Amino acid sequence: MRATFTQEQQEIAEAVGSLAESGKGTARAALSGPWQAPAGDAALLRDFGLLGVPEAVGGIGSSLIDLLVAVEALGEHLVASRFPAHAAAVQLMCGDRARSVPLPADVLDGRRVLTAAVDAPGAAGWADRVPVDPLVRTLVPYATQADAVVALGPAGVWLADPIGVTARESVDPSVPLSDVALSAAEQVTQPGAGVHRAALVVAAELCGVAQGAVELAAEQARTRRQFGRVIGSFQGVAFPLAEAATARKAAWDLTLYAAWAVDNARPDAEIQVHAAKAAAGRAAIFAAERCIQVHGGMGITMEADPHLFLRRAFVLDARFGRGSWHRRRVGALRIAARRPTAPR
Amino acid sequence: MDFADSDVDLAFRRTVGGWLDEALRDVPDQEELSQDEREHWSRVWQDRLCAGGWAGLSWPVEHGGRGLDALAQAVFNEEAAVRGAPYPLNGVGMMLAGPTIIAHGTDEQQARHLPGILHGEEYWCQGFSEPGSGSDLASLRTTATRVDGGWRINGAKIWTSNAHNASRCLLLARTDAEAPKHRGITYFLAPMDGFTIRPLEMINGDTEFNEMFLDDVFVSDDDVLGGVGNGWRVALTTLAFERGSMALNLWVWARQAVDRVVDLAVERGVADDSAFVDAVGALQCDAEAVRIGSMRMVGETRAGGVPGPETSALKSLWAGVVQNANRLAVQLDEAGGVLLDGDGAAARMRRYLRARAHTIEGGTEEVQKSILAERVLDLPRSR
Repeated sequence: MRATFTQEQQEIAEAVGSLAESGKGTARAALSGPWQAPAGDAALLRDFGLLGVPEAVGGIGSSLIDLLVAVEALGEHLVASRFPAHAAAVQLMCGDRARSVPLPADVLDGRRVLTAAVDAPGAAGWADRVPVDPLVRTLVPYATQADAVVALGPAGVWLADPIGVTARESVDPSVPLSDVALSAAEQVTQPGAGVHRAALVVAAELCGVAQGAVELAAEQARTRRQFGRVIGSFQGVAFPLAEAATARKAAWDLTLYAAWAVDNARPDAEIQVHAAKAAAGRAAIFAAERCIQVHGGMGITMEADPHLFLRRAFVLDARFGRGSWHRRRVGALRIAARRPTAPR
Repeated sequence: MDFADSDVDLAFRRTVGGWLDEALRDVPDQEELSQDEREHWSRVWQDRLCAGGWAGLSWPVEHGGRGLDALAQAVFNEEAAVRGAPYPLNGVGMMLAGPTIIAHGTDEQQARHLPGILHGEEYWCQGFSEPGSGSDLASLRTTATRVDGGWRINGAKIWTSNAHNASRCLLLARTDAEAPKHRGITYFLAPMDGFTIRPLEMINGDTEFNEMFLDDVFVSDDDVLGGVGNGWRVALTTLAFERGSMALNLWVWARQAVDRVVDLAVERGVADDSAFVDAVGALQCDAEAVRIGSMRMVGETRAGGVPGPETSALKSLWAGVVQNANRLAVQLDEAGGVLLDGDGAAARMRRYLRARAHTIEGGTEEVQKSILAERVLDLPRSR
């Protein structure tokens, strides 16, 4: 066991981190204007498209954790890049172990930008129940800014041309969300672990959001003075931030482990993915709420940044199955494994 | 990042597991036993460990140990915990006293104590905490006064496990009242003649801890460990061994607490209740986070790092899981757990009440959060 980041993973985090620094600020800009590609959007799509793509489908042997490290760094800075949505869509197509045809080259080098369509209106999770209309998906990010949609249905995964895109009002305008009407699938591939891989991309971004919110909150607690001292010296301020840091660490550890479990086809991969997505959503929302609180009066203004973290956290928690649905799945799977008939 | 065991690790686990399976064959589930019975099995277990050559697992060969690294002891304890093994009655001797004496002791001290610990003949307890010094350990007030050939010690110690079985005590006392609080402490390997021991009854009825009163107890100069006034540094070594040896136990205990409440709900036919499913989901997430976090901690340590303040997050998560799982179990009872004559109800209440200690012992929840606030979030000291 060598449960530490590789040299390569540290370099990915660094490289994406500095790209993210330059793309910072787009989350705020979208409050007052249409979404615009942040600096680094094109570079991310072009240069990082092979991260996490298995060799069998045209990758270069990069592990899923490599990709998650990159996405986490983007989440931390609230970069409003299409890269995470694109990467999730690519991962959705990577799950079919029988697949031997590489993914299209223009997808892997980012010329053709994808987005994933997984959530059905009125359903809390994928495969939760058959959607009312099997060809409509909701909460699809960047649908009008993407070239194609990768859809998940009861029968499998397919690359779809949207026949109708209805823009919805997203609580995070830097992540435009749409309802998408899809053409019926001509060719469906088996989802396999694809939906698990893709959900972890969302979980990783949530972990980044949680980390960014914790850092912003800590910065405020270190510098804001009241009653003659910095407010971080009050336990009533410090302890909830310690809780947020704990929840963030738990979520990130779960996400990394789940990615390893999926990549290595471990028997517990499914429950680990649900645990990661549930924990990451909870951690991000909790951290963003604490971030607002520690900013006091300014925390409830549009002018200050904490609400940007909360908006992103909400959107990501809702996508790829609600966090609450994932948590119940964890509980149900755990209980099922302990039933007397189940193999111990 | 790779979470798979290496072949060497796997081989060690197999060796340990094979021996444990055999040695535990006649040992009952400790959770269901009374305290007296648990203590009986703790003693039996200690003897089996010594006879099997598993005491001193991480001690150097020259001291009679197996010469494995510190992690080996943690892995052994983990494999033992997974199988529900008793806690060895001289755990303090094997895992705290021995390694601390090896690190700081003179040749004479090592020769005097290590063989007795290895052979299960010399039992130890830990005299650190005091009635007035819990979280703020360095404020301890037990005094050691210079007398001819040694020290005369006066004071009180508390939360001492196994005091009534031990003949030696890892004792911290203040030898210099004028020095800054961390500098005036000395670490003694004290013989326990003259200690007055009184069991403390806990809220669940158990008496696993004791108070110890020291009135003019004599300890010789030969029993000073690591030099006069150097006790705080030596004590930190002991605490590091304590944390290290138990590093991989927390996740096991968390998982077992979740197992128990799930099994109970399944047995009662209430496991499909949506609030229960939801609660189990939350418990499982945190329990797994403890396991994975522990693996990452071990990975960091092996890569040459020292366990960081993140270990406080693991301790906090573990305590939360065990407390919440045990509360949930109690509340599954028809009468909300208040009728102790129900089937297994008293044992569940006993475990629940014991779990309340988890946010107090080994560093309170508040201390863990302070550590996280200061060392992870870089906030100023709040205590």
